[in-house]
Amino acid sequence: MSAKPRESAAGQLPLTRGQQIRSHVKHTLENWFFQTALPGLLIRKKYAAFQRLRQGDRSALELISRLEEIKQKRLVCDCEHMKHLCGLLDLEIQGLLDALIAFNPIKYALLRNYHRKYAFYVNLALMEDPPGTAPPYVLSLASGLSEDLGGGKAATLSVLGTEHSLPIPPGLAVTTGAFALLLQKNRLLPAIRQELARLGPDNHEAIPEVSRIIQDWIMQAEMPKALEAEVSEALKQHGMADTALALRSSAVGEDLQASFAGQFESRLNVAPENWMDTYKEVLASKYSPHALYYRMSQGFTDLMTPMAVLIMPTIEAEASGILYTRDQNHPEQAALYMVSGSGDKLADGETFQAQAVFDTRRGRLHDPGPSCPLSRETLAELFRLGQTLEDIFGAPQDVEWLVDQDKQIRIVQSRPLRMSEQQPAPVAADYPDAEILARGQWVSSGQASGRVHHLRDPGLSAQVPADAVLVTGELPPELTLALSRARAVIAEKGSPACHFASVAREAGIPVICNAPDAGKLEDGQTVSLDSDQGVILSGRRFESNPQEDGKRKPKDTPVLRMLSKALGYISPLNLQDPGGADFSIQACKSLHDIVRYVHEAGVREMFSLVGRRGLDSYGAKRLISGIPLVMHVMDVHKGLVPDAGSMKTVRLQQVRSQPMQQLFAGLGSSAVQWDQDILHYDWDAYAKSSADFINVEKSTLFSSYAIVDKEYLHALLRFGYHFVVLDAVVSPQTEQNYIRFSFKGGGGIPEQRFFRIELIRSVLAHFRFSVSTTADMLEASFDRRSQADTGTNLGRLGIVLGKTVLLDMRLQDQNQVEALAESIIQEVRDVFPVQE
Amino acid sequence: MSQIIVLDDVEDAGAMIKRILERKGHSVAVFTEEHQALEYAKQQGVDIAILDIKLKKMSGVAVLKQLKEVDPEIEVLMLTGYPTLETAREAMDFGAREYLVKPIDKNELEQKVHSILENRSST
Repeated sequence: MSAKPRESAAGQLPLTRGQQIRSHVKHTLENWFFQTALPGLLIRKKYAAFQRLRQGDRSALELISRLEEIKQKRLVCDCEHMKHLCGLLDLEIQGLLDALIAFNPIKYALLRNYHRKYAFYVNLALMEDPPGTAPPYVLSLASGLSEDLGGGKAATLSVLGTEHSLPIPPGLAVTTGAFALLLQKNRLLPAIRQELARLGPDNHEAIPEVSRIIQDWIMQAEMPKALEAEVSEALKQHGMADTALALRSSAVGEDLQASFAGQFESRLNVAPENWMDTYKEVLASKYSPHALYYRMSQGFTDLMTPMAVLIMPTIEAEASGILYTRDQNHPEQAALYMVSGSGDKLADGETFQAQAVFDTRRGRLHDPGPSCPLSRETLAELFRLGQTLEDIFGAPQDVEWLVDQDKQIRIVQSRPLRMSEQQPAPVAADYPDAEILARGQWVSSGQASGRVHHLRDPGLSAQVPADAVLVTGELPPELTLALSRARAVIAEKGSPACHFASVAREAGIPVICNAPDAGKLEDGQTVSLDSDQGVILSGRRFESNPQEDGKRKPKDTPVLRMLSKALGYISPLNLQDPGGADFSIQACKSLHDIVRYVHEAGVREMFSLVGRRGLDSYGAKRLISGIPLVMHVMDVHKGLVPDAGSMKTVRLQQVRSQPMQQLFAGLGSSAVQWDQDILHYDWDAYAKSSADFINVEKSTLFSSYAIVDKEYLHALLRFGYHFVVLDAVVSPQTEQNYIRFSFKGGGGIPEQRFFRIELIRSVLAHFRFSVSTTADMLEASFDRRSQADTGTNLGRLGIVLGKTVLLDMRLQDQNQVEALAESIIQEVRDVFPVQE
Repeated sequence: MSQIIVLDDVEDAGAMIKRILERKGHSVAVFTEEHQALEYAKQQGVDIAILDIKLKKMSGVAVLKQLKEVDPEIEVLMLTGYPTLETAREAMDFGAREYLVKPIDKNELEQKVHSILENRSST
């Protein structure tokens, strides 16, 4: 590879090849120095690196499973939060690599390239284009504008006016480019991203605060001069400089991909000189608590739904309202809800004044009654217009309309009507024994049971208890925030023709309105409701079904698609078998693989911690264990009692290391009969040593040793002629636990060594160790099991070690091996019973 | 079988890609000099260009632009050892189809070339 400067996104200074080599040489020299001069320090250094590995491994795996959980359960959170989690994962892996590379720079440095590669793919999957800030900043509805620039509402109106010559009000769209320009000039984009990153799946209570912060920023933002000039000029040109204005939200995605019904603000009767503040208010409504929640629940990113704002002259309305071109419960009918004057109150969930029904099959208008503010002719014209809109869009429509003082109809908005999934409606006779507590009108279909919760302040929607059946006065859009927790909503007033109704239907939450008796229900009372029947019954009749809950969430959203793609480079685990030939750096194909590889490599490094030279006397203490084993213990962290520092010897009871205790529970158990006359040390080394006299008991060179912390044990044991290395973690984190064990050497003729290996293999395999043997070497492992299982198996291993001491001379043939294995297994089971 | 060119300032990297893709039956020409690669594309016509981002004189993105001028139909796969989102975005804006980050993985390279060719034949 050539010496290329690094385009590192993490902002690290690039290392040239020369620097890399120098760094490698330095590490290698350092290792050599420690190994030869200060083995105790080297152990501490490696141990510290290993601890970092264990912690990093745990955090990284937790982050990976967190991201997987968000996808699998389709949890509601902002995409920025997912990016934030991926950023944390990146940092954890960087830390893991630093720790592993400290063990052996040359062997593991290549891992960094693989990490960079997959981290980049993850970032690429989550990348969004920055919003365009180029002009035009204002477009007329008459000019045929696109959704990208004008938002959903404006684009729809523009199409109706320009392509179908339908009656729409005159108006201007202040484009999404203008919104992006305002954010950019005030440097708000990164700040908003940072705030949104806080909105994780279990941090919904932060929504109001995040909302307030972002809304404040927008309200205080300075209006870019180019934008101000262009809009003011356009208002003059279109004769709107001296007339009261209406400003309406028109976000991208609104009305088209999801309803976003009523999530954003509209303002009427705005004095033209105040357009800028009102414009910012409408923009800021993109970040209202309920709009934030709704956007996240529908799986859009902030950048996917930029805001344009419609500016229209305020039209004095004689009547206004909502038209559903198809009634939810009577598909053959169209329904019209209306009030005298302006209709915004109606859309915000207050009660309608009159209702008209049109039979679309027979072409017949039902008598609307005396309170209807409109003539039969105008009503018929409205229904005809509804049919035209349904034909244009090829689907039932939810239409906002008004009739001006000259009896002219204007379409203010048209969006697809979301029909509840039709279930066979139960007839009233289904509840013959039921006590009906209240009756009301259908708003959104479904049946649910729960406890009554009176929500007097809709601003507290985010804090309703789970399982609540909410009782409210009306149906304002703020209730959107309650949809993740509430089972159902009952309003004393309200109407089926409001924004919240659309959102509730989208979410599949049953809603009833116009139920005056609901006010008498008691807080905490258990009730059931069937909204198709419009009844509220006492007691719990309908069990909530988590699967049904899951079905309510949108399955395939833009954000879920991004996350799935990113997880493709995070989750898959290709490195399965640590013993396999393909367990290599080159085989890493995901961040998970890298984490797995680092963990395995770290364990291997610890396993070969110290060479045969043994542990010298740095801080090591002689262990008094009651069995004839000369052992020195080095405590690296909380492996011994706190006051052990000054002691020369420690008793077993003073050992706090859990794996050490477990091992000795086996070694010292009644199943092992120790011959107190034999001291276990390396006779070969003794024989070869040139010294005339060595005090075997005091020499660490010949003894066994252990490096311990609270949850960790690294032991090198010399039993007679045998040489055992054991490395184990026993902790509450199942994923971290392991036992690695290798057994080598010893006296006796080769055949007898083989029998002994075979004996140990069959006993350990019985207790679910993975065992492999080569020549007279045995390796066994027991990985990622619970704390209890790992501890118990360490005890069992202790017995097996104790019982195989000096067995060389006794084993004559395979039959004898099998018989002995069976008897050892039984003895082990007597001490550590197997839970069936 | 497709005509593929590889442009990388390191000869070994190009040779490795050539080996992998020739085994899949493609015809592969490897270059370390920008102008030679551009000249070849003009003269011979190619289906896919695999361009390293860091080259001797120009950037891979600049070569991408020029190649698209020679023939807008050329599919481009960008190659880099030190990726950034900014460069990726720029390359995608200029019509790069895929991004391949080193170290090169044989399966990944084969699969990305395959999917580019599939897309091409379906459109």
